[in-house]
Amino acid sequence: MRGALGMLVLLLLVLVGRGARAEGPRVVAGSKAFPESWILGEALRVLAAETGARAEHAKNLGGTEIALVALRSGAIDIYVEYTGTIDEVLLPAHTADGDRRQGLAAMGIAMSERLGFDDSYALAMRPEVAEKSGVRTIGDLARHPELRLGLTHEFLGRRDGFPGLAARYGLPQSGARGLQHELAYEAIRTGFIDVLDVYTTDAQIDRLGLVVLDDELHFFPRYDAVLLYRTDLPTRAPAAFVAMQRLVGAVSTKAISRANAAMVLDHANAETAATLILPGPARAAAAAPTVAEAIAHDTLKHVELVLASLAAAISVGVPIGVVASRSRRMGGALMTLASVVQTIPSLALLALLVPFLGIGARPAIVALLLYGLLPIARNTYTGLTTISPELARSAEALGLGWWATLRRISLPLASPAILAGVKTSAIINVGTATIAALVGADGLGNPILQGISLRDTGLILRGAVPAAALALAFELAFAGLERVVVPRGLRLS
Amino acid sequence: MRDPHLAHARRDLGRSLTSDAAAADVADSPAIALAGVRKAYGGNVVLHETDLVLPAGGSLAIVGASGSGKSTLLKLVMGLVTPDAGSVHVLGEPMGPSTRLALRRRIGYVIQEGGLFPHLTAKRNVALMAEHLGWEASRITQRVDELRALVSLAADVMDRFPGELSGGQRQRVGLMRALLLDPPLLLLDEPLGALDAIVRGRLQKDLRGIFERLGKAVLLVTHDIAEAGVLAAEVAVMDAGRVVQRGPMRELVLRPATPFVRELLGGDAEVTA
Repeated sequence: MRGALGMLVLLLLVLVGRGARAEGPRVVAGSKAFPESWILGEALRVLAAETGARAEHAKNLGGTEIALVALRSGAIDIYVEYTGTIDEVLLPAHTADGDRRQGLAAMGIAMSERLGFDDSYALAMRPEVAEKSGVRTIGDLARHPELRLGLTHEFLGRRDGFPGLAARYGLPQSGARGLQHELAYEAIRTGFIDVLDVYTTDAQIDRLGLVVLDDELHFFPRYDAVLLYRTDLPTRAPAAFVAMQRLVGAVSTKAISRANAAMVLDHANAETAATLILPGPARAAAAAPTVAEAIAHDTLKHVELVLASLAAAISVGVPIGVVASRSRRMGGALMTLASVVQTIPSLALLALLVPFLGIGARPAIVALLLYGLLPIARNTYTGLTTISPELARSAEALGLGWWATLRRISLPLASPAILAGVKTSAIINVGTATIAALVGADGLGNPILQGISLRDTGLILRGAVPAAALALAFELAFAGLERVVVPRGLRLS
Repeated sequence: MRDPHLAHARRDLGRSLTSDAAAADVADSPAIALAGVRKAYGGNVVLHETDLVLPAGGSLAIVGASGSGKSTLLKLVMGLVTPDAGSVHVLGEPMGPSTRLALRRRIGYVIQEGGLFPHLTAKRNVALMAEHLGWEASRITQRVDELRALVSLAADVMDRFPGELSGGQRQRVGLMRALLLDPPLLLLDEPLGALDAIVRGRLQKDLRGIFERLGKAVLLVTHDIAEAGVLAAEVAVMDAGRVVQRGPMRELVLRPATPFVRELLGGDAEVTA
């Protein structure tokens, strides 16, 4: 019974190790966290898969930096980027394709010719407000400081985004709110904001009848879609590479807008929407997984994330609690550190981890480990320091030495508290593991994130309901686990 | 360095006083020798300069109110606190960081309620050190049976958890645990404090019998003067950090050295400390 906690950790590690089997070479297409990017990523995957390559699609990379790190580290092989983004985020000051290619080559990345469509930034406005105020161009906004702006965080922060735009046009609006892109559409539909930033291929522009404001000073650069890929891809997977190149010059603005609308408005999945932009004869979508299969897959991956991070949090948190119980100063420092980590927003924490750990499950597990640390460390500390003085003295009087005392007496006595901490940590992690989707890890965060982007409540629930059920299941599992881990003598009365 | 507790553990109860060379060493030295020991916490002196010797095989009860310094004295002997001045020798060896662990294995320690660990059965509480030292299962069982007979407990008691035992049973199991490695010295800290009068009386009688049979040195700390008289040959009365009188109970009764001793012995109410 005394080894039960150790057994639990071992069991968790074994369960986790299961997911990490290696297979042969493969082609991984990436995409960022918006529908157009998923469609293009999916199209790349389908084209590669048709050549017999083992093609995968890493969805929802949490931003350009994360996608770039993923590409450089080999976590993905190819994804669709926009020239304007490359210039501003990847290669400041390069504006000609030759310069872009040269700069990218230094990072082991190559760039294709243009795919054919341009997805620029623009500002769009509610039609009734546009009519009433007479605003038709971005310049007109200068005369209407009362208008409320809701802008994406990336747009707010980038030099070629709002700061540059406001300077160029002398815009007086200072209180622009940062909003997630798809939620901004919801905000403008319901009238909480008047102006938002859009991509010119967004499906909602038509549907909501938004007025796209004229950029009369040509502030926004062109955002032509191109393929970015690892320079080793053409030699490593030549057939797949040639197939994926078929998108070059073949995707019109009309085609991509239609695909976007299919996904966002008609709730088609990315696979189906991708058929609308694939060159050649119309293709039937590959058999998409059923809803039940998708839920089962996401749930399993979610559980793996939670168990892996929990095992890690136990193996780090319990020793921290032990150290803290022996040295108040060291313990205080460690406990403070664990508390501070808890306050770091998840997206910020992931952004800090990706440069070191790449994308996928690894950074997600580390982030979850850090979030799960505090309850385990604190409960271990509390459990060990609240052992009655009589028992502590009896233990010391035996002459066992500190390690044997810890193993045979203190930890078993503290086991109910430690287990309660592990349980808290597990349940927190079930909820928090949805953030893993931001770094391209599978799990229940994927349907939630896609559901938010697509404003598809059904899709959100497909992630949220299993997550809630999982939390409940963990709760019950821990009640059972208590019988195994906590010695029977401590459960009397 | 020799490993004395192993030598002791190898011997069985009956032969615990006769013995091999290691025990002969010990028999020559006093079980406890405090010389000029002083202890203060901050500016508060809890034990004034004290000399105290407990001969091998002797028994001494320390009696005093809480705050008299008797608990500190016990902690000094266990090596749980270090003296500010003076020296503590236990079983002929100086008590210190390097000797502490080995010495503690040669001291049997019993506190109120036995100090049993609630997560272990009675048997595993008793056998804790034996398991740690890697004894074979058969040897552990044999030793536990011997001790069980000594303290008069039924066999089925040993498989229960402390939470399932009566106060008296817990106390007997605590004594078994203290005696496991056959230590030459027993320390008892208010061992019977939590028991009701009937159980207490019976256990006092049993304990005295056991002490007499084993011939071990016994240091007992209690606030109960009557219990002290039953369990130990000599009584030392402590008051405000000093041993104010030491001797056989009869001597204390006949010639109390201070008003406090007189009061402690139930002397007349006119005398106040």
